[in-house]
Amino acid sequence: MKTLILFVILTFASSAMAQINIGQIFGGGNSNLKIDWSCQQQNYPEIKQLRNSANVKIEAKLKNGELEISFKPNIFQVQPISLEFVTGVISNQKEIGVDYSDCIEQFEKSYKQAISTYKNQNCASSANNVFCQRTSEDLLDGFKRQIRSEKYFVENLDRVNLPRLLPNQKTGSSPKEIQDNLNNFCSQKSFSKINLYSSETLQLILNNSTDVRIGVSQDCMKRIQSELEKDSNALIGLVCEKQISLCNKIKEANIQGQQILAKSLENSVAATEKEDERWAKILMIPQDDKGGSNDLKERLNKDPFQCSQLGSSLKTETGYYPMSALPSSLAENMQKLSEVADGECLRTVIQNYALGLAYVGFDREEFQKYCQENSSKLCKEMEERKKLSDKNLRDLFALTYGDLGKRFVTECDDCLDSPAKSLQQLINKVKEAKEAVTCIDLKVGEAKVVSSFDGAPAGLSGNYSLKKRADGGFDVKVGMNVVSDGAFGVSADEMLQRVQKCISEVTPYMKGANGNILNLQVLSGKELSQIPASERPRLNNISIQGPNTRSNSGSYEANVDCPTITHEVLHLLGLCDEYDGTGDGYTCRAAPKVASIMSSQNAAFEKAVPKTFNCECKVGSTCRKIMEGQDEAHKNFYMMANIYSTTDYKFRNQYCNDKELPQTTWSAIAQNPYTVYEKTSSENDITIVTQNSGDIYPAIERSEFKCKCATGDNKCQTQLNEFKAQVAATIKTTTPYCPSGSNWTQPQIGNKLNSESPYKWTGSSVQFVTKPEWPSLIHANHFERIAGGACASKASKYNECAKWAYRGKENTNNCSGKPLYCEDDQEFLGVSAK
Amino acid sequence: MKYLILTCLITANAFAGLKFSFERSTPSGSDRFEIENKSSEVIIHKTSNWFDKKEDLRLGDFKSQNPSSLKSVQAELEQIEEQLKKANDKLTAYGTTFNDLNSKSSLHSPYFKVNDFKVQKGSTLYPKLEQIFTKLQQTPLTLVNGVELDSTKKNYIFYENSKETGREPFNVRFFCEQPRFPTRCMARKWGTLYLE
Repeated sequence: MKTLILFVILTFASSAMAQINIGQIFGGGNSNLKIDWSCQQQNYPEIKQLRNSANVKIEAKLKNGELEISFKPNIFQVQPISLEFVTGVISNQKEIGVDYSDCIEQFEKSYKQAISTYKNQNCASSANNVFCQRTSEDLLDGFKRQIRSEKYFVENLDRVNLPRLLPNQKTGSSPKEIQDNLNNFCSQKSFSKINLYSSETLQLILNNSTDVRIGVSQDCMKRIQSELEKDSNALIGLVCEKQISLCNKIKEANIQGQQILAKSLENSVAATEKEDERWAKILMIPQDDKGGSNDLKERLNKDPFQCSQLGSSLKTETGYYPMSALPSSLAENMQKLSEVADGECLRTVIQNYALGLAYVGFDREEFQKYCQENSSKLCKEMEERKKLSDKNLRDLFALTYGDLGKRFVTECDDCLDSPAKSLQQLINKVKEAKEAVTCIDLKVGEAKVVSSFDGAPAGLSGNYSLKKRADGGFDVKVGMNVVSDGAFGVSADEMLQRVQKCISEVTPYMKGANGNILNLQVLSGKELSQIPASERPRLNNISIQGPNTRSNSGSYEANVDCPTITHEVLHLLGLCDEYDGTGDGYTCRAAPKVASIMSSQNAAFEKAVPKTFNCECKVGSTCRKIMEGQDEAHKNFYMMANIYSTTDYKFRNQYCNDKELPQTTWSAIAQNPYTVYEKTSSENDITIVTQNSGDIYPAIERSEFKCKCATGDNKCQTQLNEFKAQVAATIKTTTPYCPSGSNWTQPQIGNKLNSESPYKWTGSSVQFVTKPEWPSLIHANHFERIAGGACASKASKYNECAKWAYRGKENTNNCSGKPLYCEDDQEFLGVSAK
Repeated sequence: MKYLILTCLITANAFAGLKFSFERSTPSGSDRFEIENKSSEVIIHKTSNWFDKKEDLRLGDFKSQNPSSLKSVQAELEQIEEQLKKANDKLTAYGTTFNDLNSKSSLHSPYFKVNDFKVQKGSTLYPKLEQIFTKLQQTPLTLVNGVELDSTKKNYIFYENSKETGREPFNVRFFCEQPRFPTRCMARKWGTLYLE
């Protein structure tokens, strides 16, 4: 009753005040603001409610210096009294109201905007106006105060607030507002519950639930269900004891909302299964990888094991899949892989595994997004597969560190949180352990295996064994498996025999600085199996280039010579390339000036390896006519090395030009019987004349060629000086050469003639042996590196320089860190030759 | 005219920013067959006849007589490059790179290069790149700048902008590693010819 009387007095007071024109009292201009009140609501006849909408005039006045705001009409007066309301008041039940917080929030926003507009438009000239006199903060404060003081909003602990709209009612909000609100809820930002439970939102969820790509995630749907259930239950608990019809209304609205959400969830589950299927195809996920594991096991068990077998997809019961799509297959066979694969093979497997992971795309952005929003069966499965794939990759890296790595793989099952970090710890351990073990000097008769398991110390692989000899040298064994498809009529066996023959002939010329022998042997897989395990290195797989990419003339590849074979075999012992790497992007490589088996193998062979030549002279040829004649001087001239065989053809090509001179005869040059002589020479050029017996006896063919360096071209200048030295040496040399017009095959390695004469005429061919200048084919530090095995501190300067052999300026900050001594041949190679 | 412009645009866009080559590096020198987009034009560089399937004694810069045929391989190469980049990113977490893992025991065997990535035999990408390379080799080429050893093997003929600019006698002893065949011969600044 008291409440009713008070209500009536307030209503009268408000009406009275509405008659007074504030503007007239203060003499100001137009001091009204008009804003809209819009508050669509549920129809609750049992309780007090505010009106749905009104155009409200807001007035401001000062009373005893205090700002007072009023609303006309006063929208915060409750609706006209209803019978249900009266019944409710009289029956003294718990007070029930409606939650208007979102409508008031919107009303407040409109008010703020109106104030701002008013001030901009009116306050420059109308200073008497309260709106202009007071600050925006004061006016807002007054506004809020007035609302709080309204009876409807007076705090009452006994009051239950119903939502102004129950679930599944239209709010009238725009589609954008609905969507934004839903997105905010799903991403746990602030949202409006009225909008969330609205029919617009529920319909939107339902409509999109059949398409996972645009629909709300199941997680979010379940959260909405849970929130709705919670809110509804709370209300039901507060209201249902006494307010039966209101209670039923709330229950019914909740049921409607929950039904729509349940249907949406059902649709989404079905859509997710379909989407899972689609993704499984894209990511190439087989249902299981059991078959894959068996297939991989077979390949690993093949004897001999061939790493190339691991490159193709694995067979499962449902088709072929890359290894990276079958992580269990690899995990189950990791132990076997560690037994059969060497470091080289493992590195190829790692590369291919990483490529496979990139292709399969566990971490594809689109798939990641799908899984963030839908915790589907496939997503959970993929999470497990990804973890296993990461573990596989880490284990593969670990295995490249040999035995210590194998232990790591079996013992460190829980090092999954930071695979890379735990691997780094392993690497540090390995480095410490390796130095301690691998640098111990061998005793006479003792052997050790140098492995390719970490490419240490120079970043190059090396698979060989070392055994200390009584004479201070080493027996070195290298295993080789030649893979060939019979290209150009050269079978794998034939190629292996060629390699073995070459190395056995060349090895006597491989010595250390103090003459210690490096007794190098190349063994087949079968031969390797017959030596004790402690001395048995792993097999190196070498393939002969097939015809796929070559022209139909393949004799160049099939006729690979001994200098090239030696160069390649020395790579297997850990030696790096030493020729200029600029053309290949290896701009940090140290390229020594001295000839070396690792930079210019033919030049090194010339210097260090005696060769026996057999030059056949056909009947009637110039060669025969001269060699069968009596003129010894002419024969000597004919057998002389010429400038073309003693100088670098690449230098000639780049810096020289030649022109033919008129032919002459032997008698005309007999007083100057040299195949080359210098015509003119200055600091940066030289002109020479060459003289050689021609194809047609007794003509002497002549040509003049000039070599010139541009000013400032230091590289050319160095080579030009070398060229001049070669010219001088050619004039003085007594080393013969196969004369032009004779036929000759590859020379034999070594002195097969046992003759002291410069050459021997057999009646149909000329034979001679070249004399080496160098004491060894390999330089001193080459020997030290091979003998040192994987020990970083032995041949340390060679190792430091070799690290740069396959690196470029672009990604090493201009070869930052490369020691200066690498440019000094003595420091880098321990050059023994002059 | 519109068709001509469109053809040029198609050609220009093919291989945009992409370099693809087949090469090998030996102590004797490098051999390379490379295709790249240079100043909106697709240029093929050939520094050696090592990779030729049939005899072609021309070296230098070429353009394709059928540029639209190159478009078909562009998408494949872009996909492969993307795959290589992703694999490389994965490997850098382990302190290494795709190129670092390449075999050091087959240093002088031929390999493919897709931009900066070097793909050796043994890689799962190698067969695919081989197919692409075979397709490219079938494209008929016009020599723009470079050299040709004539059919008599007696003269080098030099070209600029597809026109002959000069000749030089081909002296086997001067240009070649050995005075008898098969041998390797230099062709001035344009590269190497392997002659039988």
